[in-house]
Amino acid sequence: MQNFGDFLRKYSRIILLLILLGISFVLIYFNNNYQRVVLFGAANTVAGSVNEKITETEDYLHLREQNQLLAEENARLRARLLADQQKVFSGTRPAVDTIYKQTYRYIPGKVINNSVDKANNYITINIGTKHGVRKDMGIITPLGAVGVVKTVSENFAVCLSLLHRKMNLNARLKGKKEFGSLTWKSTRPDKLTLDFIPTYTEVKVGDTVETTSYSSIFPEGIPIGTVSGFKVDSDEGYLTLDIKPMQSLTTISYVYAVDYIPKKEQEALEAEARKGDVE
Amino acid sequence: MGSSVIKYAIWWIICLAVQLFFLNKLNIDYFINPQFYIFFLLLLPVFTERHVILLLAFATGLAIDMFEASGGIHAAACVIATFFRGPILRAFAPREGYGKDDFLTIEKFGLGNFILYAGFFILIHHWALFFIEVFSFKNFFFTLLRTISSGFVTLLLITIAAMGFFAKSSGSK
Repeated sequence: MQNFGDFLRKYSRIILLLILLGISFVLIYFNNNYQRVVLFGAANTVAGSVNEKITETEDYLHLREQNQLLAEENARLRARLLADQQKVFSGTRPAVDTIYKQTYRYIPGKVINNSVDKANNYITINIGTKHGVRKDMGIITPLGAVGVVKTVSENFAVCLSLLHRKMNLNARLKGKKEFGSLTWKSTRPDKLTLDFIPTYTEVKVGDTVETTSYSSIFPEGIPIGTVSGFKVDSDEGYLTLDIKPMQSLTTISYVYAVDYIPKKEQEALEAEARKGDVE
Repeated sequence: MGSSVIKYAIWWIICLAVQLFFLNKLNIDYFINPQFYIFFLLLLPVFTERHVILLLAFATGLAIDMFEASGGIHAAACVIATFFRGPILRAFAPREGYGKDDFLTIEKFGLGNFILYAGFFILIHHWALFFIEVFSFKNFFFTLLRTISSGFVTLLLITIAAMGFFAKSSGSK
């Protein structure tokens, strides 16, 4: 027992180091998106409320830019409205647009936390289940796609940014059928990668890359970015394109969560179909 | 004693606030990720009890982790770096010893030795931080480069802050 006491005294500092490291690694291990929601979300935690106050203050600094963006978006929407009216008056396919409007709903929200310089980046927004946000909804700004909802609480949602190693979206070149997989492999916030575009596809720098209709996360044709460079992967026979995001991910402020309304119906139907399999 | 505890508490809050509400909001670059807050741990007096300083390091890192929702990566990195603080301090000890001041100062070290001391401490901290963050040695040189480039910026900021801080405090005496 005497020896054991000596041992403890002699190595107490290393033992303390190991205990503290142990706690840290347990925290890292259990650090998940839920923890993020709780930490950033709950305004009653110190970290949450301080973060929100800081964001509020920062907003004032960007009011001018935001006004500009909203004005531009208004102008675009107004233009579409007039175009639609003309279509209706001229009697061509008035029903198409009506259906389209009902397919997607846009829930406006605001970014309260965002990073671009970590290995995996997240965007926290101030809308949650209370506002109708669900997991796997796309997040867009007036300029383009920026992320996908990962975890939701009552008032907040944490989204994988396009700058997350696990982010993987289907994307295609505007006006073309060939699609590829969009990921973030670089270390710069302005460089995404679009893989698996067939080599015969005509590509030039400046082409727009947009979302496809193969998932219910984003509506078809939401811009993601522009081509800033490309090379042929001769082993694979595919083109690898460098993509510059349309919406600079360092300056996101106001966003929309995209609600694909028939999703529930689609999922319910699929679940019902699967029920038969089990029996 | 009571007044120095308050002094350390204020100093702690300043270091964390600069990190959380200024540097983290800048989002400069993947390779420039300065971690200024460890300035607090660097300047703690030499006579700080060796267990207490480990606990302080853990608390400091954990506070950053709470705000960044990063689990315990800063806590782990701070504890690891602080574990080696004693040996680094001994390696760069001035001939007449460190004395019993409330904070370590540049004057005590001389600028060259301060940069070496801070440099080694920052290097260990950043190395641990960035490797634990990615949790793999897959892109070893990437992460190493990130450690060195970010560490350099941290060292620059801390050295400038240390010079400013002590020029002011010695001027007011």
